[in-house]
Amino acid sequence: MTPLISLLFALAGLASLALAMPRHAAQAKLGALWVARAPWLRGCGWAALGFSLLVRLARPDWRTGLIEWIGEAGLAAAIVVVVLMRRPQLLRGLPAVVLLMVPIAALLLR
Amino acid sequence: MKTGFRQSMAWLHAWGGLIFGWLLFAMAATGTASVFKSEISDWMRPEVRMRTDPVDAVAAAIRYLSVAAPASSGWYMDAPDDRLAATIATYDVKDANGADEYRLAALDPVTGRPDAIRDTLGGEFFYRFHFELQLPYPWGRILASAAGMLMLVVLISGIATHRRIFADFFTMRPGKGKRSWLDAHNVLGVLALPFHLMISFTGVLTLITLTLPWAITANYGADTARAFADLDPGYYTRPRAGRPAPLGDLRAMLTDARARFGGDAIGRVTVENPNDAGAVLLVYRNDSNGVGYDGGVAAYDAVTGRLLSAYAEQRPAKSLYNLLYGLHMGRFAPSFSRWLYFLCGLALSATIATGLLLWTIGREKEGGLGNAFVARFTVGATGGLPLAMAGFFLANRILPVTLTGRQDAEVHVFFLVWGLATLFGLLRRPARAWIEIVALTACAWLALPLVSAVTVGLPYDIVGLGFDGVALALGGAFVAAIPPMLRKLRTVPKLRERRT
Amino acid sequence: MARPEPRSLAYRLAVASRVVAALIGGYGAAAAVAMASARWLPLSRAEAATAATLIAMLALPAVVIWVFAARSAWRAWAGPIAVIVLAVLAAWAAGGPR
Repeated sequence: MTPLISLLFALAGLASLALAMPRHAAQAKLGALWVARAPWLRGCGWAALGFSLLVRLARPDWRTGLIEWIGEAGLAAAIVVVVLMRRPQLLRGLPAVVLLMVPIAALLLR
Repeated sequence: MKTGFRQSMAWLHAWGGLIFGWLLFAMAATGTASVFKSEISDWMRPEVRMRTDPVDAVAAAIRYLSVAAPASSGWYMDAPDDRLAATIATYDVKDANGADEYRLAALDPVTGRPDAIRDTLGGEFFYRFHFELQLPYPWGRILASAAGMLMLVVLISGIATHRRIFADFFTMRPGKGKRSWLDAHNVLGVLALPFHLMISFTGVLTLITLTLPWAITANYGADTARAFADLDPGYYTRPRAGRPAPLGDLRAMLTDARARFGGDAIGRVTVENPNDAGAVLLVYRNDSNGVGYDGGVAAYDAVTGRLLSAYAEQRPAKSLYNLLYGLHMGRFAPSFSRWLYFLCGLALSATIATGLLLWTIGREKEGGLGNAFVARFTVGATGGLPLAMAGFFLANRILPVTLTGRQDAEVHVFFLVWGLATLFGLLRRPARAWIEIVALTACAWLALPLVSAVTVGLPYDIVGLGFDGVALALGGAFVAAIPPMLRKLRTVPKLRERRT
Repeated sequence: MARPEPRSLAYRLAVASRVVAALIGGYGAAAAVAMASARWLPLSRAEAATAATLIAMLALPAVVIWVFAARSAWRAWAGPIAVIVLAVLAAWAAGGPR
């Protein structure tokens, strides 16, 4: 449960961080309006990434959580790389879709 | 070896990576498989299906060993747990010439006997190969340590070489030849970099008392007995008494140990000096309960059942060492961590493989015998390893169950396939040999679930399904690699090929 | 350092010199650091030995990187030699096995 939630947050965060980079924003055909908001996107990205770590650290098994989070963040980044490689335009919606999945996952797996 | 820090580091990265690259790839790949050592062992012994209480299983195993190896100097057992169905016993017997010979046998958890269980090393083979490299003690371990240390140096120099770690963090440009290989190498290396650094550092650490004993020497001089007693106080040992004595109520001792571990499962159990008045029973807590290996150990007089010592590590430096050791072994609780370890291990193997390829691609135009050798040797030494691993699994399913020396025969198949693939790679043109080896590897992995279903039946549990799933996924990945290689073979001008 | 032509004898000797410096210097420095820290760390002797080994494990890659990053062969050798001499002196000054 916790692993999935923190993985989703890490994915949303890293996708936002990628979108905040000019090269990947161009790949994802992001509008000029959004490109101008890169600093804002970057801030949200770091926040989501930090929150995904916090989710793991706030639990009693935080030692395992920290180790798993490092692997999870790498996995999330790998997903972003694959999306950029295969369907770069999907990246635009990725943060929002992934964040929407958090409450659904929380409800389904409770 | 060139002017400027970055150039020096690039030189070190390239040459350091090359020198042990093939060995490191084999270590990374077998280490990755070892993440699922227990599951592989279970899959390779489809005859063991029953599960029992670990205490009962160990008691049954000891009953069998008392008859099968009464003169052994010690019995070493891994108790079954959630992941492993059989009791794995290692013990020494005198061979025909009177020399000590170590045997590994899987014992049925209910009967304690090895009958009808196919003779195989299981996941233990990859685990042992990962750090002993099938070489005699201590040379395999020393070589593996040296390779691990070089790996750490290569990683550090790689970071120093990589100009744009953050700018290229998500960058993967496919279909651009060398550029794409470099992107793949960078992405695989950088995304799992914490794992790569951790695993090479902690890997060297697991063998450090063998390779760097000087801190112990400085503080203990020649008094190694005292040093080992201080460093590992839980390990209780005493000499043989020389008087035969029957073993006491081992089940009671095992149950007592479990109570001492707060009800947690027992892990490794050893009986030293069995059937002697000096017999000692050591019970370790199962290592899946925490990252660090400090769960505790209890020692009993195996004849009288008296507790000789009980120990749980509290000292900070040793606890830190145990934590780092446990990080390398990756045996702590949730299965999610193990999958992450497995994926990171795959990433590390792929980083090494792409690194070796980059070495060749960068030097194709230079020509020369050395470069041609590297290009050709890499094909079989690297590409042949996943094939050899599949061959090992196939041998487990195909070789007759009653074959004598079956355990060794499986291992021979592994090395035979690896050796033949290496020879094949040396003889063929690399661009062709790669396609042929990858195609064969894909076939071998895809055939595995089928062969298994025909010889021992369809998978019936999560381990069987998981194994087939991984085999199909690996096979699929190898299949996916074929079309781009074929395209490249058609477009690459023949002229350049002829020169290598 | 002046950069000789690759594949020339001078270049190969320079490479060999650094490889030897990294191997012997790296391992020697790690061993010496292990001995010095084992004797000087204010811990029980088993704990000091464990902690010293961990410290030495960090020294080894650091020395190797130093050797290959150094601008001249002289500096490449001087680094590990300095570490070894200082650490061995420190270990010796602390007295024998405690």
